[in-house]
Amino acid sequence: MNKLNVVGKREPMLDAWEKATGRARFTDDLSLPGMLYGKILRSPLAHAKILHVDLSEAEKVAGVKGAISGKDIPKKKYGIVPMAKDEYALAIDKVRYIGDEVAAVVATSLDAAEEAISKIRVDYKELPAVFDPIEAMKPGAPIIHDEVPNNVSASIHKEFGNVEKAFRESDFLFEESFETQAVNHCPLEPQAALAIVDPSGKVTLWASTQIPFFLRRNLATTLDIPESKVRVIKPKVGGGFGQKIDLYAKDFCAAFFAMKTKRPVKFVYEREEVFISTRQRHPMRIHLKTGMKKDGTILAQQFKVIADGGAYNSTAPLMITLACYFIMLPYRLENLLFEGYHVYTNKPVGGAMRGHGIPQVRFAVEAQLDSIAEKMGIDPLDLRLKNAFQAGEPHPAKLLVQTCGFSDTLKKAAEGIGWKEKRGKLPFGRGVGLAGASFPSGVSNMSHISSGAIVKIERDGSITLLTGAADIGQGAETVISQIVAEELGVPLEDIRITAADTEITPLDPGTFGSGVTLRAGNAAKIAAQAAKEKLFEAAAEKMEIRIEELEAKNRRIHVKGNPERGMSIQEAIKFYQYSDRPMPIIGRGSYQPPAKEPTTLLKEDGNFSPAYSFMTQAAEVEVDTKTGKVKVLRMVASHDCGKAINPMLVEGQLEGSVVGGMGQALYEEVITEKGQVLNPSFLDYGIPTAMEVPSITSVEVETNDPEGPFGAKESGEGTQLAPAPAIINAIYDAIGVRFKSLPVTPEKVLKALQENAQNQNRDPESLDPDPEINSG
Amino acid sequence: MRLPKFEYLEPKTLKEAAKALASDTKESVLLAGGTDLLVNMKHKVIQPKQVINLKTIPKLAYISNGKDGLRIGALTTLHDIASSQAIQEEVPILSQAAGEVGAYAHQVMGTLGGNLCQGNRCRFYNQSAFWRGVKSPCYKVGGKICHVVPARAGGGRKPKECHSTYCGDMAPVLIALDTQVRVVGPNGERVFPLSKLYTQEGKKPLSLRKGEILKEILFPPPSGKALYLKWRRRESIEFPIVSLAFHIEKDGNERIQKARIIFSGVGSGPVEALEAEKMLKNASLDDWMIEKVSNQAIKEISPMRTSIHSPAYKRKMAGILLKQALEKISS
Ligand SMILES: Cc1cc2nc3c(=O)[nH]c(=O)nc-3n(C[C@H](O)[C@H](O)[C@H](O)COP(=O)(O)OP(=O)(O)OC[C@H]3O[C@@H](n4cnc5c(N)ncnc54)[C@H](O)[C@@H]3O)c2cc1C
Repeated sequence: MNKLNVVGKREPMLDAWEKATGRARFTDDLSLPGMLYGKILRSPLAHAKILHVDLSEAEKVAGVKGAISGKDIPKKKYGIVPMAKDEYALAIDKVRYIGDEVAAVVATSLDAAEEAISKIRVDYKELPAVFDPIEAMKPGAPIIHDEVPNNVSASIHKEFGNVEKAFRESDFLFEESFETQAVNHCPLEPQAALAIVDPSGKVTLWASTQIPFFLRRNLATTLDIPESKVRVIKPKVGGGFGQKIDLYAKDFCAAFFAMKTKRPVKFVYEREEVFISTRQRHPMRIHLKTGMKKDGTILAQQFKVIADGGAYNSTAPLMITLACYFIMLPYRLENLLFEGYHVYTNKPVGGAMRGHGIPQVRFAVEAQLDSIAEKMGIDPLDLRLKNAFQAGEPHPAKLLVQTCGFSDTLKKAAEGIGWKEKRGKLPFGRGVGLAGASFPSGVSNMSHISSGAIVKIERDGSITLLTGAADIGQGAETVISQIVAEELGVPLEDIRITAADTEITPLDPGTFGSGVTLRAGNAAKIAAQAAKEKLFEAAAEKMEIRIEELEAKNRRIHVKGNPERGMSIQEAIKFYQYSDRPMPIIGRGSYQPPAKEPTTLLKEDGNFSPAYSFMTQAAEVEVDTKTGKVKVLRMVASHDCGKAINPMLVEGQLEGSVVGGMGQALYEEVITEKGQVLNPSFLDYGIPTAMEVPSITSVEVETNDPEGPFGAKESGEGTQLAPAPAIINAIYDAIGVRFKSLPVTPEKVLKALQENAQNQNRDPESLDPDPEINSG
Repeated sequence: MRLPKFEYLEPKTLKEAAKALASDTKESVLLAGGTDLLVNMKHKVIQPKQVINLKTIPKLAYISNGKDGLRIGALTTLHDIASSQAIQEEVPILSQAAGEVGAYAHQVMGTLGGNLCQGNRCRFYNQSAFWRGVKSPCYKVGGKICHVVPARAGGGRKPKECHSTYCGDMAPVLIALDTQVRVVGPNGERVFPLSKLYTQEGKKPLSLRKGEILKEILFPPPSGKALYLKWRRRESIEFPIVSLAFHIEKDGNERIQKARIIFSGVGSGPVEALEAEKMLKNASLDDWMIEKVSNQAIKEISPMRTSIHSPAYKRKMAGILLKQALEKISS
């Protein structure tokens, strides 16, 4: 491949300076003359019929400009997955969890809006509620949505190969149960929206969203107006992790009130609202049976998975499907029987979260693999290497894996953590562990999963790039600009980017499924090529050579391999104009992943994604055997992202994944009691702080995927799959306890250590004569 | 969340502040760093008519080490205490404890006086008004129930109006160090041992009389060895799940003369394990003794389910912290 000048470089994020100096403008930083402030009244009951909502006292509060409840809005359901729509912007007839939206007000000040909210009177008829998914599945359980009498709103029952036969042929069978907890995404920027309506009746909404174009569609649906009457603009977004792909009441209410009052309207959620009434990672109960051959081949797996969905669907069908299919990567698995249920309960709602349904099952698989390895007397690394999927192998669900660096990531992560020297050899209380995973780089063929881009070459030689891609902090705008700069042979600073405005920028599905770099990057690359071609035509004419002989580098267009023979881009533009070619120079690109066997997986098998990333994370931990506290000392993250367009940003993703995975393994849990979240704040919800972050080494593995731009695959969501099980496996190596439910708190560790000590009739403390006191 | 409406006063002197605080016509509260108060006001746990800002009164923030010993003004920030060289040399555990309060932002804004006078905590009322609205109001916010120990018909436990927990970091340390507190009221000053500031009553945790304001902390000459062990999940932001301040004085023959064992996070005020302290007098610290003392100490605390951590876990950790402290001291 040609030497690259911009792609592959450690370029700082384009807006890093803006963000680091506090100048970046997020939705809540925007403000318009005459703006009204909104607040939402939420249900204090987990399950109840709404008999009557009395807004009259709220309307009397000075400064209040509007108050609505469910009966005032169009009766239009929404949901991020079209087949699973089950939610109204404000509850109509019924509330289904503590925090469900009941009414909303707008006022000239937040104080007035808060006061007004406290004056709304709601008569409820309380209904029996159900908080446990297994209880919810039993006959006679309270029915949360009338259309779903057994509370199972999405399920999957799939078999690949012949599991019964494979179990019969297995030399060993292993059967275990695992449990994962509810985890909140905790984006630092809470959800917010600001809406205005112009005299023609068009709504413009600035929102902290990951998916402006889907939001436009959902907003149009719920407002019951044409999509052409809605414009969504994404300002800076302070993190999403999947929590900002849904439409929320704040989006609907801002737009609805703007239409009603003809004034700008802003809604911003409190942190408490982010915790109780946005989305969270689905807690899962996982029963897993695995059949093994003597030689260490994984022959078959059988799963029963029950996901606690909370009160609504959000991404339910997709989540449970992903959980199923991505068991068949990164290990070869020809026989799989998967039974998965998404169950309604009267609790906060589950949704997409970095990894989306996969981290939970991956934890079960990776933890079980380690115990299988031990029982079979095989090194867990060797067991994984033996079963590692390879590029080009046939896949039982027909996924087309063109590049696969999984084995490399295993070796590199193991080497990085010092596997050979450390595994099983460190003193009691210290241990290493690893885990692998795979993730799609976007989805191939679901409704409007394609991206567009426009590249304009301006008269001064600078480049304007329009992309629909939604940068939510991961650096999409930087990466896509790098791709365009590389293609046009200009430095990054020559690119001006406008992104994620449904009125100006081309269609893009948004940031989810880890598809942005591949999909929007390809669209931008095609657009840049198209623009370049026009300029090349003029340059070739002037130089009297063929277009194919030209290349663009260092702001010049010249003969390939001969920089002397050519001209600057500006000269080329001048000639372009003087030769009566029409300005402006515009290149357009649209990209949809090739789908030889198009599928959504929901209905049929087939290739789900244009490319698959692979990764291994390895952890070294220290367990304070007197207090049970686990400290992650070091993580090595080895990731096959195809090609790192910007290694610094890939590292950023890997580092973030370690913190997130550590949170899920050791610290975080949304705790509820009768449906009420007990810890809806950063004080009580234990998300790791900078103080907990271990030393992190990132090792990139490059496989140069043929489908990705410059060979790139994903490095976002997938990175989140392996850290938690790696940490759990390291804990086993440290203290000999296999934890099967997350998070592994000091309290659980201490209890397990004491039980072990009683069982073995020895004091674990005696093994550790002088541990450092860990008093934080 | 917005602050409820209130009147705001910037007094020029402590006396003026004390008078304003004592005036019967208004329900007033004092504002120091605001890191505790303002959160409670936003949650509408407290809705005062008047807020009196102490920070505008001159000369209340100081660390002085003169011939009458070490004194720290009530408005001194925790950050100043954590970074003061005089304190680091004289009473290192004090700067350590100050540096472990909440996160950096709390230490920069938060004051010593505010820390000592901070409200008790409970998972049922350190929550937003919306959150609390899910349940009936508890004693602390004018209701008739304590959700921690709901009264049962003919129930066993003695009824108590509020089981909220004291979770401050500085009080256990300063009590263990035998400090005194000077308070200024509308009718003059009084000085008393800091331990007497705490009533052990959840509903009114401080013994301050109407209009009284904490002015300064007075230290005895430094003696013996002291340790502060704070147990929490993360190394920042968090209150102690349970913490222990331990102070020990030995005579010339290495015999223990006096020991103070003070816990935070396990009662309605800082809790002193008096019987365990007595056991330590003249004791030699072998493994058997350490076990015995820590077993005794955990009998003297009665943690309640006021946070997401169970009372049993708090009790277990209290014992472990004390064991660790004794091992450290004896080695
Ligand atoms: C997220 C979070 C984490 C925290 N973590 C901890 C922790 O780990 N450990 C800890 O100890 N605290 C913690 N706190 C509580 C608080 O931040 C500290 O206790 C701080 O020191 C309080 O001091 P302040 O000056 O801000 O008090 P304020 O909020 O100003 O006042 C607190 C109370 O004391 C009263 N008061 C203040 N000064 C005086 C005075 N001179 N005389 C009489 N009454 C007075 C006020 O009226 C008020 O009732 C935390 C708070 C938060 C929000």
